[in-house]
Amino acid sequence: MKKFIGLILVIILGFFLYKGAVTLSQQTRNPGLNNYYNQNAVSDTGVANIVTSIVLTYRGFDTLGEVTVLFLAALGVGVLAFFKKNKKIKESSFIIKTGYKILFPAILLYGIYIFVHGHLTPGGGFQGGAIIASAFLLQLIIGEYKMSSAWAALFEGFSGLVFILLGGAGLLWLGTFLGNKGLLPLGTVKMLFSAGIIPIIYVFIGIKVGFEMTGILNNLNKE
Amino acid sequence: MIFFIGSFGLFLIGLLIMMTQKNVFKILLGLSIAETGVHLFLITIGYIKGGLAPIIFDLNPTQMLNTKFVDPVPQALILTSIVIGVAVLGLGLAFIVNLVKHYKTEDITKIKELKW
Amino acid sequence: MVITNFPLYLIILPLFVAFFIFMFHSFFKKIALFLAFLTFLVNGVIAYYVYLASQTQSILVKLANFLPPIGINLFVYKFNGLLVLVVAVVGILVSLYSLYYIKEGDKSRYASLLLLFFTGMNGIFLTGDIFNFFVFFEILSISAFSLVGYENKKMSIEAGFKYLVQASLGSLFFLIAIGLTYSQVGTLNIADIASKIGAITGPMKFLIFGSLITGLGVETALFPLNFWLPDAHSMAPSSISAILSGLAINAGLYGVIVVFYIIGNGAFLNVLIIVGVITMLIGESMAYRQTNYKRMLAFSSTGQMGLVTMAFFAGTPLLVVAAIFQLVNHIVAKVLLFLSGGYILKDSKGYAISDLKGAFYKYPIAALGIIIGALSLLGIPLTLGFYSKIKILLGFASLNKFVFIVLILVASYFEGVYFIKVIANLFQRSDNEKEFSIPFFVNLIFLFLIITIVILGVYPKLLGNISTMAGELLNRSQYISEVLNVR
Repeated sequence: MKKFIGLILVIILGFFLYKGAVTLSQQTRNPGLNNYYNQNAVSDTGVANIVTSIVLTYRGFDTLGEVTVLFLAALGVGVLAFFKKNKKIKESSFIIKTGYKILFPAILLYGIYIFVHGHLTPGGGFQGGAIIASAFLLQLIIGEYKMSSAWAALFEGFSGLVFILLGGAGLLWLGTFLGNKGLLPLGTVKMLFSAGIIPIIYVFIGIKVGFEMTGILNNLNKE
Repeated sequence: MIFFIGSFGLFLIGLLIMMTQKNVFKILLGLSIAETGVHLFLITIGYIKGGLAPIIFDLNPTQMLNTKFVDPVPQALILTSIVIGVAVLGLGLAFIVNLVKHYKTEDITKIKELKW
Repeated sequence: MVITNFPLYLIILPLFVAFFIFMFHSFFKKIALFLAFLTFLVNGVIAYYVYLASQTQSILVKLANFLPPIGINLFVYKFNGLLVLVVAVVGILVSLYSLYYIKEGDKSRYASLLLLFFTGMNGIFLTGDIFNFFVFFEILSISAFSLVGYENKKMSIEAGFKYLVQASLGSLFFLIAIGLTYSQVGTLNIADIASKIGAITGPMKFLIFGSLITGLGVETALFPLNFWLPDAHSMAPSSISAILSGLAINAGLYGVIVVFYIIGNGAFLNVLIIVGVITMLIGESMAYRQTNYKRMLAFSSTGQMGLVTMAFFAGTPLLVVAAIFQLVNHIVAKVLLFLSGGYILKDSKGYAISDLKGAFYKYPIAALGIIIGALSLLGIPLTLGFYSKIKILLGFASLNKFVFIVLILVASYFEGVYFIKVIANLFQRSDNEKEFSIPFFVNLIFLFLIITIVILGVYPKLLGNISTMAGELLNRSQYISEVLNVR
């Protein structure tokens, strides 16, 4: 009975969405804010990757909210913890244990590369942080995860605080939260040290996301 | 057009899974599929015919003004939204582990202590 | 209109303290809740100044030094100035209550979650950008999920999980609506969308507003979307039930107000009135059958939300003013009912109403809190609820819609029955000895809320000039021009 109602609702919704899709594909795209962002991102922020300039400068407040949401997930997983005694981890095969020794630093390096170059190439703090967390996931699967959760919490909270403080620095010196233009020199585009405080923010976001996802995975693994 | 149909189709499939499946883990997976569909929909909206990825590859300013870029705003929106989706998924998994431990079953129809 | 940064601290300060508490959470277990309480006090002072300033002129906060609509902005006008003040006051009371009520579990995580809940609330009320609204809405929802499941009991986890699934589904619809809106008008700023809304017609308009009301309706507890509410509100710890029923529901309602009045300029109001009527009738009649005190209050919240929706979206200034009063009344009374009843029923297994027997003789101030809260929701004279309910009835009478008056009176009859049942239980003698005594500060919280309801019932003008707030909402050209013409 319930399946039948669900099917009917989905069909009705599908009909409306189909009409919407037809309307959308027949319209031409209205020029909107994207023209402004595409033309002026370099002169406003000095970033080569326009999406990064939107995420961190024009809509930097959303990024603050996003960092908060990840932090909330880590908090929630900690609250709902239901720990058992340490269960026996199945002994991993020889291939994984040897491969881990080579793969772990390579994945970490790749993740750090992604978030350090967030303003030049596609990528950024969140993507890099997720890659770093996957390196630690490898460690968790094998059973050699040794980071203490107190240190991880310290790093996480610290990185979050640094993000807010950087925004606050914009507040004090420039008069607006997360202001970018006068704080550090914008430099020339496509150089590593350019675009004001944006690369610094992304580094801290990368560290924070990496530790956070690792913490969540660790908590889920312990149960 | 095909992209809109595809993304809405993913969303509807995810919705169907969430409403009809009984295993709690599958319900969360349906949520994840539906979220993927919505994100694809947002990106499709940002597509401009003949546009390139919004990354400056040439230092020549006049050259930059003439190239057509794809809309970068939906990409920024889904960056945020994917992270929010991951966070909710992580929290949902923690809930599921706890739920299964308490009720000893994964069937959502049996988890009905609270009634009207 | 003035451009400052002051309202930003309402969002940044709780966020900062939440990170700080978590950073040292192994050391902070004892004083975390106290730190949270201090933060809420500072927050209250800032909110009071924001409220005072917003009643004379609107405040715009530019973020990242870009003008709207290029950048994100926060905008304080008269209506959300009042709401921010109410939120801050409830925050102070709930954090003080939590100091005495939460005895088990990881208190430093609870304190961080509570601070982040209020970050989300303030962000929702202050923001001027629709995607930013979505992000803060998610912050609010996710902290609510974790707080509902805080006690790790079997039924709390079930309630939290069902809440998670339904709220995530709602937020997906909201995201679809944002995408559709962006494709039509090319901007995400609320004032900018409002000025360009005329370009959207036909099936697209129906789809956009339909998705928006589905997405926001899950949090606002409108009829077919509120199945999560009775479970979640009854199984959370009492301080959390108070802020869920009192504040989170109203965040959803604020979203509906912004979408349908400021952006939509009065579109689809009839649909909302009908949904409000159905929600109110179903909510009150379900509450009538409950034996669990908190579940009864949760159903009563849906009923009250139906009433406020009905009055808010009727479209005339008289009814909007009455709805604002009823909104404030519901917040204060519901918080009082949950906090006082929750403390008396602290050790009871199923929060049964029969466990309230004899509470008037054992814990007089808490019982008085339950009585005044109930009377205010019913609309008995001398309370704020009387003033707001009479205004709603008069407003519908002036529109000649007598059918609504009859429906409201029917719902009030049901309300009366179950609240009288609770009050009668309070006065019965019971054989149990008094097991604990209520700390002085907790009684102070109850007294503060009781006095607020009674004083506002006698002098409702103390809340400020509500009719200008209503005028601002119904005629949004001032909002649009103030945000878009800033230089």
